Parts: sequence; structure tokens; C-alpha cells
Amino acid sequence: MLRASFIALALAGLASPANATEWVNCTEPSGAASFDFLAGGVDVLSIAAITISVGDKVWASDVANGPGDPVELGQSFAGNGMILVDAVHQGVLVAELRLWQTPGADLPIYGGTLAIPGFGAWSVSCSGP
Amino acid sequence: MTRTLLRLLTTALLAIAAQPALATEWLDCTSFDFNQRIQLLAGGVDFHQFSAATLYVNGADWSTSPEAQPGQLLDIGQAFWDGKTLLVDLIDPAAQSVLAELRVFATSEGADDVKGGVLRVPGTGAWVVVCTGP
Repeated sequence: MLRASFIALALAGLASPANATEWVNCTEPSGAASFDFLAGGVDVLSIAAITISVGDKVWASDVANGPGDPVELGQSFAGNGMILVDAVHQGVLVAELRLWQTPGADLPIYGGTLAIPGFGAWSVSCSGP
Repeated sequence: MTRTLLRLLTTALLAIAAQPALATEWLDCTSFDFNQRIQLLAGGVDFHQFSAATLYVNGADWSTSPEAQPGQLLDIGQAFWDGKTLLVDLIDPAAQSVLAELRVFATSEGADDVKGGVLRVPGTGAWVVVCTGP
């Protein structure tokens, strides 16, 4: 009986799809700066990884996504047509992303601003899920 | 007493006359291919009030003042601008429906002041826009 329960639980786990994640890539049109985040979540936004670049300077929350200075997700919120993300390191703001999302012909479109203290601010356009 | 009152009145009138008329400037938002454009005439304190608008989408023009800026008539339905968030809905007064929605964030860092967001025209399309001014 106990063995059957364990098998049922294991099969249930295999049948449940892992929460899907996809990269959202936000760039200034000339490529001067970018903010990419790995987004997932079912009812609310969940960010699993962040990569930020401006010129030769790169930050990455996960070395698996390439080299870069450390950065973590500070806070994020998606709702009411907005996506708001703050990236930090040791409590200090590294970058601030503010996006509006609206339905496009096929996929949603995202546009807004990226500010990196000490470096600059840019209008950005994003591609993603 | 009368001389004092007269002096005070004169001072007040001179102070009022010295106030500059509040300036107006255009806020201009365009798509990256320049085929879509929305302009808002901003005035008031910190340019937070809009008194006129024009819209250009895929070759068609709209304007709050067609006699000044040719196009079909539109109205500013609602607008909000606090220096960081800009929300504007333009209305087709004939159909009493939303003609266009503009949603923009503004931010600054060092010498950079930028505004970016999205323009959506229901039934037609949606575009990322970059804005300049005021």
C-alpha cells in the first residue's frame, strides 16, 4: 500500500510540467544597453535570472548565463499593463527597468525605460513571451 | 491710510504683471520607424497639463484642432503626467470610443532624460514609442 502511494506520487510529479520560463530581452535600439530577465510564474511574475549590459560592463545573476559582476533581483511586479524590475547588489540599486505591455498583432509588445545609476538611462524595446 | 493702500495695490499689480505667461511645449512620441506619432501640447506648472493633441497612424491624421493641425477631430479623453508616468487616452468624439492609448515611463540618470513606452490604437496596432520634450 505504502509502495503504491510512493509510485503514484512519483508519477504525479513527472506528469506536472515544470513551470515554463522564457527570456525577455530589452535593448536600446542601437544596442548601447540591455536588460534581459528569465521570466516564469503562473499567476504572478517570477524572475529566475537577470543579465544586464552597458558598453563593456556586464552583470549576471547566474554565471551559467555568462560572466559578469554579481547582481540579484531586488523587486519586481507585473500587472495592470506594467512590468517593473529593480536589480540590486548588496542592497544597492544596479538597474531599474520600467516597461509598459500592450497587445500587439501577434505577440504582446513591451516598451519603456532602463536606468543604470552611474551609467545612464535609455528608452528600450523588448521581445519575449 | 489711503496712500498705504494705494502703495500696496501698486506693488501687487506690479508683481502680477511680472509673472511670465506659463509656457507651452510639445511632447512628441514616435515609433522607431516614424510611421506612428502622437504629440501633446503641454503647459501649466511643470508642463503637466495638456491642451492639444495630434495623432498620426499609418498615414492618417487626427487633431484636437483641425483648423490648426489638419486631420480628423479627436479629443483628449483623460491624461495623467507626474514627471515619471504618462497616461493618455485620446477619444474619437463621434464614436465616443478610445482612439489611442499612450503609456510612457520617464526616467533620468546623469545627463540622460528619457521617456519610452507604448502606443496602442485599438483595431489598428500597437508600437513601442520614444518621446522627447518638454
